Amino acid sequence: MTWADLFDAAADVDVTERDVRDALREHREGDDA
Amino acid sequence: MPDASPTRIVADADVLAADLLVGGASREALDHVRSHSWLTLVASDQLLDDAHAVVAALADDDLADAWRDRAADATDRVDHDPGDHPGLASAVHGNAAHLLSFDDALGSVHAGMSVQPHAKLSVRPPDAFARLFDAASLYEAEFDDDYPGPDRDPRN
Repeated sequence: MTWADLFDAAADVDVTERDVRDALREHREGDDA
Repeated sequence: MPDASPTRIVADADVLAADLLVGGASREALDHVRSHSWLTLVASDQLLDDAHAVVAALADDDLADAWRDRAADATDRVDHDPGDHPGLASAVHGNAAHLLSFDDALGSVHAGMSVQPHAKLSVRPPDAFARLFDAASLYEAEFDDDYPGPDRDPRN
């Protein structure tokens, strides 16, 4: 799959940079727990 | 350990996931890397795992799996201790001079790291990297030749 294919597939995902940062923080805090 | 190279770049998992899910500055920053074959995106398995988890949480497993396959092909893989911060450790062990992250504290807090980041490591948010990155100047400094322009399709 190309980057173009991936970006097309993700085009309908409605998230913000803040959502991404929060999801990563939750994931890493879960790893540390 | 060799000196850090300004042609070797790490994007932390938040920037990798935002490149896919949000676009904006993260995609603009990583398009610089994708557009030039002499720039290398560096990542550990742990770093790709973190971004995969974020994509799976915010989108779905199929997209996360497809992204990981493509990202694995697009990165130079490095190893580091399991307890180290994946972004910082990938930069240290991958001799990268640039680390892209939304985490403002990442440039100054390295507690618990088994290896301290080298002095040349620049930690920047993707919008700053996208704005300040000058491919022509870097190419001419690194290769002592005229910049030939982008040589790769960033969407391939």
